[in-house]
Amino acid sequence: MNYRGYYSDGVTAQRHPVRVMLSSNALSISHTDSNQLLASWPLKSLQLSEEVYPGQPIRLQQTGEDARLTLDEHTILESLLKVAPHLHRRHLAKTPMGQQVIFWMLVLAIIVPALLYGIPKLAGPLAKIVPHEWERTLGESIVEGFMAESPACSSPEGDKALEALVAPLRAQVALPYPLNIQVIDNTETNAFATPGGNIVIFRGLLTFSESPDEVAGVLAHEMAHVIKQHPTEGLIRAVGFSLVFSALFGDASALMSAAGEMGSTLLTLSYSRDAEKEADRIGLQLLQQAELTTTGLKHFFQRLQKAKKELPESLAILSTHPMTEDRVKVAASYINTGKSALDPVQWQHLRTICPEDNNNKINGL
Amino acid sequence: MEENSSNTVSLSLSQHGQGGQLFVIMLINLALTILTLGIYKFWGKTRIRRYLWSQTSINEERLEYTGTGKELFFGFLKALLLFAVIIALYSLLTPVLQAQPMLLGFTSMLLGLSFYWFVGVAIYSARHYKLSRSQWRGIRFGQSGSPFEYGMFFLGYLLITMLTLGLYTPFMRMHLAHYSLNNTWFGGECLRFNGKGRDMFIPFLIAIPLGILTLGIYWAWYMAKEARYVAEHTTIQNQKFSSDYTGGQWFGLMFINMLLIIFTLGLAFPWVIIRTVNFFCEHYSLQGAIDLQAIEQSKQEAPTTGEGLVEALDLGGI
Repeated sequence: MNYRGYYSDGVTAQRHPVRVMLSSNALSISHTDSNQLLASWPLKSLQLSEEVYPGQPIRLQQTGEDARLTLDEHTILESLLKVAPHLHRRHLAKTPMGQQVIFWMLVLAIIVPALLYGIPKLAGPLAKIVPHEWERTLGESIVEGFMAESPACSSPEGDKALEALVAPLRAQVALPYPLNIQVIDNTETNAFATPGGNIVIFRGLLTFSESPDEVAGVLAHEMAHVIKQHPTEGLIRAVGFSLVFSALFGDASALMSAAGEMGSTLLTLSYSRDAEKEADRIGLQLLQQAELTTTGLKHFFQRLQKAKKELPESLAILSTHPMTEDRVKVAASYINTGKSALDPVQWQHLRTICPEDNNNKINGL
Repeated sequence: MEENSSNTVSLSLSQHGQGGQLFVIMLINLALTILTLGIYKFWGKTRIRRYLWSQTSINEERLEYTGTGKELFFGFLKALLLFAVIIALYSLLTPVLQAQPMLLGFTSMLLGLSFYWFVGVAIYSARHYKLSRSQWRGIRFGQSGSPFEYGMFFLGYLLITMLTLGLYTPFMRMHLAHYSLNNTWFGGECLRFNGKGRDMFIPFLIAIPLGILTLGIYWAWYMAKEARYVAEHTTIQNQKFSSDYTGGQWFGLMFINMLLIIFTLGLAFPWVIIRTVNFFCEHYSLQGAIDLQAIEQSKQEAPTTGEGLVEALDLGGI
């Protein structure tokens, strides 16, 4: 059978009206007017140049070559697909659009919830198989990022006091990496743990705390995060969520990608609430095992609750450590048998671990 | 349309795409991108381009996009590697530099400036990749010139524009158009552009107060005027192009596109793209006729990987 089409030889932009003949192993293309044979294409290296839609001319080529054959009618396709079945892949005219929409909507309706449910489930096990070396490198770079803004504080007596505070708690746990606890010169009331066993205490937290036991409580809470690998887990979860949400909204518009960002942040936060509760529980157990008083953490939480109502914006700690009645109750429920973490002299040394002139500045605030 | 080999022909553009078909493509891309945690994005982008190109025709022959997802993916990896090296070098040097505040300030400034250079390089190399992967009747489009040089011009003009509080803008735009259009090829045929920044300067000066008075709406009229000017000063085989849309038409297109996106929460995005391509096809044309027999296959070397910098810098676009 004969088909009519146009042929461009890939040498000039001219195109020629042609007659196409299909045999069992080749397409022969000859000029309509002169009958001159322009090309004979073996079927095995024949390909469709792009997907075929209803009503669209079909375009054929030899793999990797510039010459093109264009046919307005789709009549050749049926016989062509019989002798060259590999062309099926780009022949999209066969599935109706409505069916495709329904099928892919269903796929989306399954995979999006599955991923949002599965990522947090996977984050824990994944955190356990991340090499400790990676966690440490990552953690160090996070800490260094903070120290570029606010340098680490150190004084001979202050360091000794910090060590006296940490030692009984550290004795209770076995960790794959050494704990690295630092005070940085920053007025915010905050403390955080990073992957790889780094704990950073902001100077503002030392000034906010009324006793060493409050600091010990916060420290035990952060150590619990380290033990449970929460920072690594949280990071994996956040990356996973943001990948899903950016894929969901990335291409559409700025408006939608803002919505995506919010969704991802909210989800991450809701999981971090559970992690906070777990860290409270394990932290309080740590304090008990170390025979330290648990009232410090209770007081700290109570005072945070109060401060939240009075001047919420000044306490950055609340954004990462949401404070609830619940947490205060849990902290209060532990029977207190322990002793104080530091004596008054050590406590004074710890509070003044940062350079003197800066301390005066905050006291004045 | 019959084309006799000895005659010249006029060119006409038309667009055959349907929003619904593009919607299905984007839906599939979305599902696969989520499933692969983002990796499929590059293949998806390629799929969209193949559709858009193949639905746009010049004289009843559709354009063709020959790029692949793999090329875009490797281009992206290359760009990531480049940035990783730069960041590593910078963090290695920081301790040395911190000892000398002067030197630190200088390198920070250099890094800041090089960002805009990178933007220029990214824009030009993305254009290079797209043109080299575009064909019509088996003849490849192409781009000569160097992305690095374009990046230098981009940075330089941007600095002058900042120093002149924006007054240099029309000159910058024409100079950059001059560089990229005069390096744009279809096969062995190069475009010629002879527009001058000074011709757009007075319209630009008029557009500033009018733009402020109309809350920016007047810029649509300036952009339409500029498009007309650029088209009429661009030639192929000495034949001028033309663009005939008015500011009102351009504003109408943009305004309705915006409403469509907002009221459908982005679902109308495929239709917005199709409308926009349609608009360009309707309003751009070649004034005279050209000899297609004389246009031969390009002998330029094409890049082997695609536009990674654009992806890495998140400059976006189709």
